[in-house]
Amino acid sequence: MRALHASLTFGGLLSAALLIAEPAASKNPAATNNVDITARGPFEYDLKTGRLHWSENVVVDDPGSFHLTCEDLVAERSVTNRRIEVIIATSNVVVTFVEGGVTSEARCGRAVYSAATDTFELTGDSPVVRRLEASSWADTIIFNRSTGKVQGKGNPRIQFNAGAFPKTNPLGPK
Amino acid sequence: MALNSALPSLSKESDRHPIGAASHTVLPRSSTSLPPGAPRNFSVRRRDHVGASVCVVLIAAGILTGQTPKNAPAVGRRISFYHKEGDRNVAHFTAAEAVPQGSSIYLTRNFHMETFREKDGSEELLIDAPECLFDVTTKRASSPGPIRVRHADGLFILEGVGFQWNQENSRLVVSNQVHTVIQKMSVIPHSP
Repeated sequence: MRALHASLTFGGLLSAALLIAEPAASKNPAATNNVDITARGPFEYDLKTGRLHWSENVVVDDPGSFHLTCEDLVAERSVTNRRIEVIIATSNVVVTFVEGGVTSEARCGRAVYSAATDTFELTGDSPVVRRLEASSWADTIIFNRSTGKVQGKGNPRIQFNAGAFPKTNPLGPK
Repeated sequence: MALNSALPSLSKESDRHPIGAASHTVLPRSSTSLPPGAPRNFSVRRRDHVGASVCVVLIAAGILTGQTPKNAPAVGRRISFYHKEGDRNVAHFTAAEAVPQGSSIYLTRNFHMETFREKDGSEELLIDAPECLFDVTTKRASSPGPIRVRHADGLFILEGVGFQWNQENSRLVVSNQVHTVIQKMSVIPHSP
C-alpha cells in the first residue's frame, strides 16, 4: 500500500496547530448514561479532596463514545459543584474514539481529559492519532470531542494513507 | 454484674430497623463491659434475651479474664456507632453482628457505614461489606472480602474485593477487582 508521507514543520511557531480532520459531531445511539471503569487495583478514593485513583490494567468504557486503556487513572472532582473536572490517564494509554461513525485510535504516555473544554490532551511517548485516512504525530495532540477537531502542537507530522483516497487522480491530465 | 443490669435496656429484634440514632439504645460505657477505649456512644442491641445473654456473658467472661473471645457467639449482637466531631455527625457505622477480636476490634457481619457532608450533614459515601474488621477506637474498617460503595449524589457505584477505610484521613482503598460505574452526568462537559 502506497503512503504519502508529509512532514510538516512550522519553524519557530511553538504552538502551530494542524487541523487534521473535522468530522461532524453527532449523538451516538449506542451511548449510555454510564461510564464503566474496571481495574485490577488498588483503587483509592480520598473523600476530602474528591480524588479517585485506579491502578493497574485500567479500562474505561464509554459505550458508543470512547474506550480507554492505561495503567493509571486519576479523576479529580470539583470542590464546588462536585463534578469530575479532570481525568488523567498515564502509562501505555490507548484511546479509541467513536465520533459520528468515525473511529480514531490514539496512543500516548499521558492523556488528560478536561470536562470544561471537553478535550483530550495527549502527550508523552510520541503521541499519535490514527484514522482511516491519516496518522498524525505531534508533541501535544489535542482532540476536541465537541467539535471533532484534532490539533497537533509542536513538531506536528502527518502521514496520509493513500489507500483511503480514490484511485483516480483528480489532479492528473484529462 | 454491670452487664446484667444493662440487659433490660436493650431493644428488641422487632425494632432493629430502620437504622437510626433515635431507635438505638446507647449504653454508657460504665454500665457495660465494652473494651477499654471504646467510645461512650457505642451501642449493643439484642435479638433475643437468651441469645444475647449467652453472648454477652461469654464475651464478658473473656474480657474479664483477659482473653480474646474470638469464637464467642455473636447471635443477636448489633453495633451502631456514630463518629462525631463536636456536635456534628461525621460517620455512622452499623453491623448486624459483631464479635470482639481484641480490645477495640470487632469482626462484623453485614457491615454498613455512611459518611456525612460537613456542609449540610447529608449522606455522602455509603459502604457495605458482608464481613469486615472494625476498630471502634480508630474507626478503621478492613476486609479481604467483597465491598460495595455508593456515592450518595450518584457520582459512582463501585464493587471490589478487599478494602480498608481510614476514618482519620477519610480515605478508602479497594485492593482488587475494582469495577466502577460512573454517571456521565458527573463528567459531561460544563454548560457555558
